[in-house]
Amino acid sequence: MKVLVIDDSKFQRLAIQRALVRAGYDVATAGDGEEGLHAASASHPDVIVLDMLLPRISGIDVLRTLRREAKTRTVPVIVLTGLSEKNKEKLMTEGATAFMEKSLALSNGDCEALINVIGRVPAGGG
Amino acid sequence: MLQSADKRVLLVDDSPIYRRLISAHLREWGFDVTLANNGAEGWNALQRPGSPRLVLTDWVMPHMDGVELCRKLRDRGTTDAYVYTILLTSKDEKSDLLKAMEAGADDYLVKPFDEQELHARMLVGKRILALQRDLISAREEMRRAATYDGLTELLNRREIIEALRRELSRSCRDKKCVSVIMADIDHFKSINDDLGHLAGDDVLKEVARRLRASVRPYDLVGRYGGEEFLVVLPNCDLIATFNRADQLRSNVSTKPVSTNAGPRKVTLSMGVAVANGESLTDTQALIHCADVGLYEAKRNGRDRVEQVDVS
Repeated sequence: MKVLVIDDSKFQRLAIQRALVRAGYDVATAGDGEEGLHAASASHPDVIVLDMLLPRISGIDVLRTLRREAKTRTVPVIVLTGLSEKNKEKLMTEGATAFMEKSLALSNGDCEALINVIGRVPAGGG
Repeated sequence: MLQSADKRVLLVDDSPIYRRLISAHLREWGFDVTLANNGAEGWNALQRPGSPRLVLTDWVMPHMDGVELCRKLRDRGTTDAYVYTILLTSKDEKSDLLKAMEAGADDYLVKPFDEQELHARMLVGKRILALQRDLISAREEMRRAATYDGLTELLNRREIIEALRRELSRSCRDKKCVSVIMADIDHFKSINDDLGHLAGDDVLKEVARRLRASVRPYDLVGRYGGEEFLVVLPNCDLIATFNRADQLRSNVSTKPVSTNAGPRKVTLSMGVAVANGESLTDTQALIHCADVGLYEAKRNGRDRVEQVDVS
C-alpha cells in the first residue's frame, strides 16, 4: 500500500515517513502542492496525507484539484489539521476523507494516530 | 572467612585495668582492637572512615558516658553502616538497663563478667553485622541491576529517560539548553548474521565503552534499545552537540572493533535535538525529534549526524 505525504515541513515529512515505513507502508513525499499534485497523478498512491498550510498552492486548492482530476478523484485524502470543526465541515464538502489532529510539533503519538486513521479509510481507486 | 572489617572492635573504657584485661581477651579471640579512654574519644574514633562497627563500651565514664555514646550513634541515622554496641555495666537495676537499651545499645554485659560470656556476645554482634552487610550488598546489587544495562553497563532505557526528564526540568528552571544524541549502530543485524551474536555483544560493549569515554563526566549515556544509544548532554547548544556527536561518530568508526570473531568496522548514524527551554520541553518530543534526525541520517547514507528542525 502506497501513501503520498504532501507537507512542506521536512520534520513532519520525515516523522510521518519513518512511522509509516515502520508500519509496512510504501511512502512517497512531496514538499509543496505542485510537487504533490504531480506525484499524485504519476505514482498512483492508495492514500494521500495532505497538510493544509502549504506555500504557493494551498492545501485546499490541492484538495480541489485532486478531486477534479480523473486519476485522483477517488483516492482517500487525510488532512493534517489543527482546524476548527466548522472548517472541517467545509473540507468534507470539498472532498476530504478524514482528519488527523496534530500537535504543534508532530509527536510520535500523532504518527501512531495517523497510522490508525490510514488503516480505517475506505480503499480508493488510485 | 572473617573479613578484616569484621575483626575490628572499638573498646571504650576509662579504666586502664579493664582496657588491658578485655583487650587481651579480644586479641586472643582474633579481634583487631582500637582503644578509647572515654565516650568522646570513642565517638571521635567512630567518625573515621573504615572505623570499627562493633563497639564494646563501659557505661560510667568521664566526658561522655556509654549510654550517651549509644544515643549519638543511633541519632546519626541509617545512612552510615550499622554499629553494634555492647554496653558493659556494673549497674544491674532493670530500669537503668531499659534506659540503655532505649538509648540504642544492642546488648549488655554486667561486670564482673565471665570471659566466655563476653566471647559469646561478641560472636552474636559479628553475626548481626555480617547479616546487615549481606543485606546491604544484596540491596546494592538489586539497585545496580535495576539501573544499569547488564551487557553494556550503561544506564538502562528507563533510567536514561528518567535522567533526561530530570535534566529537562532543570534546564527549564535555569533557562539553559539540554540536548540529546540518538545513535544507532549501522547494519547491526548483518554484524550478528556475519559474525554471530557473541561478536554482536562484543560490538555493543565496545561501542558503549567508546561512547562513555568520549563524553564529559556529567553527560549521561544509556542503552535505549537493542543497538540504540541515547546520550544526554546538559547545557549544550546545537553546534556543541553536533560537534560532540561527530566526535562520538568518528571515535567509533575510525578504529575497527575487535570481537571474538575478529575485527569489524562499525559505524553509527545519529540524530541530535536540542531543548532550549522553550521548544521540545518534554522527553518524548525531544527524543522523537532526535529519532527523526536519526532516520534522516540513515536515509542519507549512514555513518553521519543529522538534525531536523521541528517546524
